[in-house]
Amino acid sequence: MSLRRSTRLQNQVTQDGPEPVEVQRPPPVEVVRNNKKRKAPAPPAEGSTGPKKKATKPAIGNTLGKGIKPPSQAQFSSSNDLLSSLPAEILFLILDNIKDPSTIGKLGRTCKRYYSLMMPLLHKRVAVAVMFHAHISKLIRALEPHLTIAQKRQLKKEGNYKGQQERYPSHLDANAKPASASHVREMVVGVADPGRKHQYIVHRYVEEVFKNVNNLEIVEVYFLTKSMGQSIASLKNIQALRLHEPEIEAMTPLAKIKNLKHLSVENSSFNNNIVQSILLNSTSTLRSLVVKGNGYAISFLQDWEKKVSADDALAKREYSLTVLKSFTLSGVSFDATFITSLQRAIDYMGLCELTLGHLSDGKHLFFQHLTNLATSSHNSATGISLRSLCLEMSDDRYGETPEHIQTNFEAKCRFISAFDTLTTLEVKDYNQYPNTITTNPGLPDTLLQAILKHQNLRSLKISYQGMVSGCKIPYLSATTVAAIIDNLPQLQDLEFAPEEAEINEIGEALSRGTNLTSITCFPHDSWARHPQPDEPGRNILLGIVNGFLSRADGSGSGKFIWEDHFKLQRVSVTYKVWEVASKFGKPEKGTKKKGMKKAEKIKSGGDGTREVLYRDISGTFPIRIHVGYDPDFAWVEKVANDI
Amino acid sequence: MSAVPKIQLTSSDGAVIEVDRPVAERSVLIKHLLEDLPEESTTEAIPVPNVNEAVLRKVLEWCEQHKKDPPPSNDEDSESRKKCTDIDEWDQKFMQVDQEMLFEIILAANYLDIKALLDVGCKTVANMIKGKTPEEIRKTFNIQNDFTPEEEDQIRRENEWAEDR
Repeated sequence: MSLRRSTRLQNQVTQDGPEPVEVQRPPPVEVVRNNKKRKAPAPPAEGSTGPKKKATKPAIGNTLGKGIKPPSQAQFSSSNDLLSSLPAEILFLILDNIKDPSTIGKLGRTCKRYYSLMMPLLHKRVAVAVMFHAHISKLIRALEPHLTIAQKRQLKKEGNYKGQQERYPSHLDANAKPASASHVREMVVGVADPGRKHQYIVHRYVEEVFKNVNNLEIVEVYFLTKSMGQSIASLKNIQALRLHEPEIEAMTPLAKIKNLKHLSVENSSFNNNIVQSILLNSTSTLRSLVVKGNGYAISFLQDWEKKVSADDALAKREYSLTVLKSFTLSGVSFDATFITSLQRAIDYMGLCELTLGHLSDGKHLFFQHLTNLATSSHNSATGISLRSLCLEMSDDRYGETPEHIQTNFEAKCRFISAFDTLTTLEVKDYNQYPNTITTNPGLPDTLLQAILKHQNLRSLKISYQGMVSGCKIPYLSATTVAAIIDNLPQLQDLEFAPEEAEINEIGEALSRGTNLTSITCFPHDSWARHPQPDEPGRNILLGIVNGFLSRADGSGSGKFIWEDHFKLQRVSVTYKVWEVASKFGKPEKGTKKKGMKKAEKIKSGGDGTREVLYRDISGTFPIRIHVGYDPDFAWVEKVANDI
Repeated sequence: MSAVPKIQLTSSDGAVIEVDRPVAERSVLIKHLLEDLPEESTTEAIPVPNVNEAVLRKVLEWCEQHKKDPPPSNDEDSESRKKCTDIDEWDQKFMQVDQEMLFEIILAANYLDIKALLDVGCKTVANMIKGKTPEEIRKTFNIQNDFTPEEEDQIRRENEWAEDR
């Protein structure tokens, strides 16, 4: 019996094993040093180290087939290690389900083969942040594996801290770069704020590590020193760069970075010339661009026209950035020149995603410009590629006259209604109005009609970050919700702030949304009231679910099954999340999630024949206590999927 | 009752298994094969050279159970699959087989291109790894420890940072 299968599995190995799997790019040519320190010392037979190392380096997938053949086959018959017999692609599918470094590390400690497979995975991303003094030791422990003994000694001289290696083996080459440093592809360095005295050492550790991790592809940093800037500029494989609050001087070396796929520069007064230079070096590769200014920066494309005309190839292009798909802009003000330069660089209608945050002076000009583009592209052959739009609305409130506010609001609405290709739309923080106004203005028809133009919307968010003190939210009435549901048949996700008093009517309207899978209500009135009612938001859940239950037809024979009638699976109301279903799957054995509440039942109809279960799953999400500027990896994850 | 068309599959060890066509079409490989075949030749048994009878029957048992599942939509496919870590109750029971069979099912699902089954299989194996010490992982999969004690110690120290997450 075992013979039968083993033979087959073995065949599988020879068939599929050697196939290269594109899991990770091989590191660039850099000579692999025979690093005695990091790498587990070679097995007694010296001869086998050479080929083994070669095999493990280029692509982790390769090791399965080649390289370790002699030991693996011997092992195969003797120990019958079935996991090893799987082709590499399947092993990596399995590992896709294991994200935590601890498990990957433990698997790597089982034997040499897994060690060589797991190390590149384990060291793929290095992420550090020091919000408090207590985080320093953690940073040191995370970074030391990528430093040479000489670097560690030097740093210890510069500052004695907890977490530093106590003793160094004397027989190792003090200048040998650890192999793990070559595995690092993604580096995220959060804020360093352990107090003035200790900032130095944090910067130093980060600087030294940057000197070793030469295969980086994605870099996100919340501070930038000169040395870091130089290291980043000399990276051969860098494809994505995100800078928060970079020091202008430290940015200088970055001007020579070429062929970036993703660039994000955020906050403060960044060096416009450097940004422009990186953009000019990456016109054919840049896929996403994020520029967030501090509100005063006028143009990061100051000499764009001049520079572009000076280059033969660029001069011929209608738009300089030929493959840009995603553009985010905020914290800038506009004048005619800037708008022209932007227009020269970016084909707005060829983008997939456009995010416009808080914009300053002259934004109505910008929106007018976008509207013109949309109107003319609407009728052109190439059409409009734009599918996702996120628009900040609250920037029409502060420091502007009512006339300005109205002009800007109308300009935005005209832009939204100038085309109809969106599938995802988010309108952020629209019109929180002063407490002194007693009647809820709701969502004005101009904006509603603009939204409804996009009949293919799958996701619509009329979202709020929270409540501004002294202000009220223009809660949506049942009539508005009904208009949204009835005119957007594809809608799957809807987020809005409901008028609580009309929740039953709103539930009824929502139940007509046959494709809705997820409804989010945030915020709502009684949640903000003091004192809060017991279980705030439950009334909204019940209102919505009851609306659905009373719609369900086929009261006839048989048990009512929710899933046969509706796609709705999830209702979130102001920090609470409920699942809705006729039956909940049991969690796996031993993995019972913490915080999962017991399911409760809602019955409906006069006869109570229809019922559905709901359970509160809010507690199952990790509670994010987002400390200060701790990086959240959203950007890294996004660009990692697109390089 | 005989409205459902049937097709025949031949396993690697020569067994002929008859099955409802929609059930077999959970396999994208077979589905595409059938689409490419002229109507009259679908009466002939389709060879499945990489899968033996025991495994093929097991795989078809899964297909039968999941024949009504909606086909995965392309765009959110990968994302929603990754998010959900739970395994359906029925699937959990289905996967309670010896390790050899489990791996054979995974390989067959890969060959026959049945994404959802491949997924369940991979998750099952992943769950066998999660939460175990290296020694326990070795025991589970019969992995031979080829590190010297010194090497093991060195590696453990290298990876300490990963442990306290």
